[in-house]
Amino acid sequence: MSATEIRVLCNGEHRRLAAGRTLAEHLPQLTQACDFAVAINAVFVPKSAYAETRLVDGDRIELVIPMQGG
Amino acid sequence: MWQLAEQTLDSRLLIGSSLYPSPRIMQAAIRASGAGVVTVALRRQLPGAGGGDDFWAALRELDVRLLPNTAGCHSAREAITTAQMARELFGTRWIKLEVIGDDYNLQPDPFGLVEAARELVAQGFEVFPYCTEDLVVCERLVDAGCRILMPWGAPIGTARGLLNPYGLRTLRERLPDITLIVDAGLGVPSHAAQALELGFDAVLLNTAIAQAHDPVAMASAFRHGVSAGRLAFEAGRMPERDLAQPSTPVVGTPFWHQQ
Repeated sequence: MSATEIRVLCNGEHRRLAAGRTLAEHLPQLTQACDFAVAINAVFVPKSAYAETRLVDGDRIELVIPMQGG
Repeated sequence: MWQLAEQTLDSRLLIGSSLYPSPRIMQAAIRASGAGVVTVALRRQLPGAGGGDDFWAALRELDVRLLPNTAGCHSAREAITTAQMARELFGTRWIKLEVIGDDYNLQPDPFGLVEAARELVAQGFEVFPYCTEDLVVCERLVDAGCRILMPWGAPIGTARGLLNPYGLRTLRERLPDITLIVDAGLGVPSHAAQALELGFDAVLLNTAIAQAHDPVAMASAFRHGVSAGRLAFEAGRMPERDLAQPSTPVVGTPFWHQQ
């Protein structure tokens, strides 16, 4: 892994992303959904915190959308 | 009209949004059911995994209140994080709290449930715990701050109806001020009617409607079953007796003579 890259797990899939960027900057790469919510390392990240949340190597990202439920 | 948390509702039927043949049939079935509350979930966005725009668009066309769930969570921690994501995604503080303890029959984990309920109530959620009909577990959930309880009728998706009417009746008698909703295990409208006849405030079901041969017709049937059960409860049933008692007057019976 180069210093300019981090490896993360997004919804169970390995992804390589540019290092030193925030969640807000990465999101267009991670989802096309309009309605979604995020947890990093099993901790909820509110929308208001996207711009100040910096992803680091090894982060586990859960990105969820509305789904049918009972 | 009745009161569920801060919401005034016409229907005592809450309905799920899963397992329908198509989003359009889901929409028609929800309309036919008359339900004012619909359960939803959140899941990873995966290619070909269902959900997506069609489902979400069909649901948003309906004038219903959403009740997101924490289905699939196996620990209080997972359920709490899921509830937080649901609150933001669906814009509601209502959460159907599921913490599963056993994968074989999807039986709720009472310990994880109480732990998660206490934390979520503290965070301002209206917690609808999916629980068993165990009286002590239900009392602990009330102690944790729950005003609504949703004991199972039978395990999810089994269509077996109320397996323990005694336990459910006991809950109703012991927790008169708590909103009680039978959630899961119902198969036919008579099961729903029975729950309402026992004095339960409402029922929540999904599979019995979604997997019926004609989900829209079955939704309508459940609507009537719920109405009939509630009306019967309000009317006040006659007591059970061990021996027969003639309904036709005995005095003046023809051909009668003293033995």
